[in-house]
Amino acid sequence: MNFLAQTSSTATTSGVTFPTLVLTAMVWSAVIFALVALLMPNQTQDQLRRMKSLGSTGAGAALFFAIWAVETQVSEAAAGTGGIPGGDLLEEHNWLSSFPITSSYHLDVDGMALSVILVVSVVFFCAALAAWRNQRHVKLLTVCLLTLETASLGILASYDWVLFLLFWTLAIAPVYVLARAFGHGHRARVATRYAATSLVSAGLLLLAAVLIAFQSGAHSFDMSTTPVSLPGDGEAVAFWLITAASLLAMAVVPLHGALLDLEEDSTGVLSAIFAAVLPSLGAYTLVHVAVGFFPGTSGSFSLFFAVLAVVTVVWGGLAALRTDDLRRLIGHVGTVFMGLVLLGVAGHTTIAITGIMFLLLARGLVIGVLMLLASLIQERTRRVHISQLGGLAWQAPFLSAFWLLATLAAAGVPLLAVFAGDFFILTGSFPAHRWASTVVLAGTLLASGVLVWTSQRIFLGASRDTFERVRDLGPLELTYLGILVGLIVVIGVVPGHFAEVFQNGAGYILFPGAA
Amino acid sequence: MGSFAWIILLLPLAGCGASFVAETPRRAAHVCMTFLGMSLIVALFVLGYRLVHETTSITPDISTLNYLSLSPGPSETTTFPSTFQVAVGVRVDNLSASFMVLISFLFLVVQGLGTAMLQRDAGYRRFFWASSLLATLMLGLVLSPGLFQVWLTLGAVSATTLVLALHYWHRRETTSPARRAFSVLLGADASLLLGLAYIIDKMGPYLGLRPQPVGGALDIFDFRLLDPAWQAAAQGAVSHVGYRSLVILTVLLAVAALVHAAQAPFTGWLTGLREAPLPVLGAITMSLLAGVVVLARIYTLLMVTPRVLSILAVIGAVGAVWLSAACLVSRDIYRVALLFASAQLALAITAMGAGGYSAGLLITAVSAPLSLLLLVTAGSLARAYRTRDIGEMGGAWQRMRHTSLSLGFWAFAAAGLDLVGYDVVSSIFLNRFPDNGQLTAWVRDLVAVLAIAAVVLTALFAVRLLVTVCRGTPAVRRGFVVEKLTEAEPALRTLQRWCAAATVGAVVVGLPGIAAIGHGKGRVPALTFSHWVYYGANHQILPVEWWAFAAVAVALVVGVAGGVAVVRAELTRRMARLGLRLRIPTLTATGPAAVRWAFAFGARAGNALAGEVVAFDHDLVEPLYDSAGEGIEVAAEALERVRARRLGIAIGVMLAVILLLVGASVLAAGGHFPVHTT
Repeated sequence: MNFLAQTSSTATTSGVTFPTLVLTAMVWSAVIFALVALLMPNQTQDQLRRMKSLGSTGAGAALFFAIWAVETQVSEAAAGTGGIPGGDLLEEHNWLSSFPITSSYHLDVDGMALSVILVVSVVFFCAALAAWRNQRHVKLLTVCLLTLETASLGILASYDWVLFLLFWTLAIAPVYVLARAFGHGHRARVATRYAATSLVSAGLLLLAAVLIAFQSGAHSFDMSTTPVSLPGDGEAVAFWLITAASLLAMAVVPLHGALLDLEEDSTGVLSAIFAAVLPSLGAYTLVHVAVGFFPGTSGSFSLFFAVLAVVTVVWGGLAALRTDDLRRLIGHVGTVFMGLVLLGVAGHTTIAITGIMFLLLARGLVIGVLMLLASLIQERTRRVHISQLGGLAWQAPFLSAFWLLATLAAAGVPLLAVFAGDFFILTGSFPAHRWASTVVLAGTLLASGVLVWTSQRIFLGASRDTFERVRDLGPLELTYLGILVGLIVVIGVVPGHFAEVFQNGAGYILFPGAA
Repeated sequence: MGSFAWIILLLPLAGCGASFVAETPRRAAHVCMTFLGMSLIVALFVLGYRLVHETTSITPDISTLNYLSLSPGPSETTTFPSTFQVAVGVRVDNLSASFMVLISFLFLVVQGLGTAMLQRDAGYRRFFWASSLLATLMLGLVLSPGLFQVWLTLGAVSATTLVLALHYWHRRETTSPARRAFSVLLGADASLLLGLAYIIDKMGPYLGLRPQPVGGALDIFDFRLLDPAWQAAAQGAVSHVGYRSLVILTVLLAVAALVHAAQAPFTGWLTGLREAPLPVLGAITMSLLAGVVVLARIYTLLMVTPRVLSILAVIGAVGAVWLSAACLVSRDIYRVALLFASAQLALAITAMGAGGYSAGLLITAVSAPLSLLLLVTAGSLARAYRTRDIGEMGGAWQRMRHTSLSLGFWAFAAAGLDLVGYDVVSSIFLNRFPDNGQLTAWVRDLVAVLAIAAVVLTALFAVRLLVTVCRGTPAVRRGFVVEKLTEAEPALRTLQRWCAAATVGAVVVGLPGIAAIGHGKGRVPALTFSHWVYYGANHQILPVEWWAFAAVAVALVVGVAGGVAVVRAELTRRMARLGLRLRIPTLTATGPAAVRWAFAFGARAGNALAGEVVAFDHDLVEPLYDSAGEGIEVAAEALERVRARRLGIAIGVMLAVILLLVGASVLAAGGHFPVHTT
């Protein structure tokens, strides 16, 4: 039971009910710190330091409330209420009630949202710590990061279409600004292209929202009533609109180009956020909204998702094999993970959907670590291409060890974070799609092999004179990478901690009536 | 007993963790060895307890913890078990009680080898924590109460193998094989994972309806649930599961086991690692036992798919011949040691495939310390001679008496005195192929012939190795002074003794024909391994089969004689190269000309055949791994070309996807979409 909920129950005895504000605090704390940062000067070194600490504190506050929300739900999972909307964390206030279509300030979470919330808040916190080394446009970076975190958490906690779309579009601006300001290479083109893609997906979602609101007869933008029933072909059209928007955001093949370019041409911290967070939001939308609203329709098209999963995984694995840019390679590996998510959707079972939640949690951590390490490598060696690297383990043993551990985790080695997701997705999808599951497994093996080979090319081998002055991880880097790597190990060893809450969430998505 | 088994499992892990905080690498080594030693003591206690409690030894002692638990949706119980729960824990039965001792001991010796051979090595601490971790995982595998933990531990074994194999991470000749080994093992783990998914797919609802076994948390992959389920499936009592499904499942699981045991043609990953330091090779070689343990644990499944069991026997026998022949012509003593370990496990698999469950496990228990003995001896020799080329060694009897004795012990044990050959041959001829397993008599005969050939070849190369190393003089090389050739250091000699003693112990407890010892409460069922570790309800007693002894004795004699002949033929060739042109044939000493020619012919034919086998191994089997990789790379290159034109293609594909989505929507709206899988 959380503190605010306790306040609520205590206060009820005297006739006053205090609202539970954990989700509001989680969503808005980051942007409040961003507003404070906006008002602060950033001329001297002291002021810059204050700005950075403000950024870290904002991200830390969001992380604190996120953990609070997650653990509240985990503690309630045994009773069967954790991981299902409508629990202690529910916040609903009338907002646009006098319009023909009503809307409300409705925040809530389910198991699916919790898995992504945890990873988003952890990655943003670690990114904020990693950004301490940045000396350029500090205020802009701080404000945009915190705004993007609020937008991401808002998407995950929204149970109203207006709110959901507000946060979805809110996320586009900071991504665009960050990519333009901190990118390199073709940063303008890349930023514009991604923003355009995101706007298209926002437009598709808007169309779907309007269609649902009007055709369902409820004249409400509320997202809590599932499954949605629409007359005629409305259901299929709405489903495909949401699916198309989600697939664009997930960057699955063949829609992966924009995000990969963004990851390749951004600076380290940002590429970590873009790679770890943005596709997860798309996956959340696909599973939570598209499948959750239309479980029947999504089940009918499971073959489409299975084929797309196969194409994505095989394409991603092969592309990773030939990619010489380190960050792009990690991006391809992230795409392979998204292929696994698609396989889980194709499986369309509670076990597979639970596996997706485990996988999204693990994927964010693993890709986040790899991207942060990649940026550190590129920063230290001034080399972008893998073929120019080698023997770095001589100079950077801790960096190498962290990389190897993340690589093993990405390979699905048991007792590291990814394995539970792999296990559940495969066992949950195998009965429906045996061949697709087998090919996807082979594709993930290929991607794992590529990652191990990349580790060999970067870190192993004879020492090179050019990298003699390369530094190993410092205390700050050890701290934020240690958090991520520690979580990878802990989640791998005790995945059962989240099992019930995720399972309840999966049950709610596929069988809302039963939940 | 369950709690004791947890201690056995966790002690090496504690040592692994403690080694990180030890002040010096040397201290870390001591910590790891102390914890592993304590684990061995507790394992011995558990084994002793079970040995003297006959009634206890019948049933396994199980202690499990819930690891992951899910409940499928309301309409999914037709596909999945009603409670999708997996557990981790320990299962103490006679098999695990015996192998716990064996594994703790072997890894203790490996770590002893590390202290002797890795001093002042940069990866000293890493070796100890990684080997302790590997020991923990191997113990976890042996103690697995279910197939899920088997997968869990095997996957972690693969990762730890990579960490160990990367000991010399700065050398290209070790990093590429390490990566290749990990990739191959990862593939094996994927096969096992597919097996788990297949079990759920085919037998999920059936397993969910079974009564929960007493003790511990429910595990749908628990062997106590799976074993009767497989038997029921074989009798047609499980809907949608026929013989074909069981065969597919068996193949998926057996492939994982064979790859982990480095069986032909998946031996390349092991032999490729030979540039790693010897203690690392020791640890990895001991992890090969995992494959046999997996086969032992799924033996019920193998028994209900007798054709697969028979094929397994054939695969094992062919592999044993193949690997023994490769040993015969290999000049690298490390490669010989690795191939020998793999060949011995092939014989174990042959015995198990022939229905000799106890015999197969006994061979594993005997061959593990024997393989380690060869590794320790090979390390001692390579260190002293500063080469791993057998051809450049010689004269060890003069200067390395103790090591020569150890090598001699190994050679004669490997040649047949360890009774491995007897165990295999008697298993085959006792005709333990299960019902319907006797495809035809020729399969049994083929397996028998191959097994005997493998025994002969093993004797042949063992004697050849012994004679080549111990007699004559070492080759003259730059930087190598023969006078400085000295005996191995005491630590290595001690390890040689320990391995030899363990081999003797294993052979003694495996002797056939020993009955129960004592009466009443303190009665020990039998020291005979087959009285103690057996499949099903009946002991697989290995009787004293004199004809089997005779067959193996003949094989031993032929092998030893062949080995001597091969050495002498090699000497002859060497002399011929020196210009002596066979004026004085070296095989003339005694015996009639016919015997002499037979020996010479046999030796040359054998040598030529083995040469072809190794050439095949080098030129075809090992490059298979590389060619597979190259094939993928070619595909990726083609993809790269596509990427250059990706903009146009992306637009085209997007349009196609949009059209597809629109079309699908229209079809779905009309209810005409042809696919309905849920």
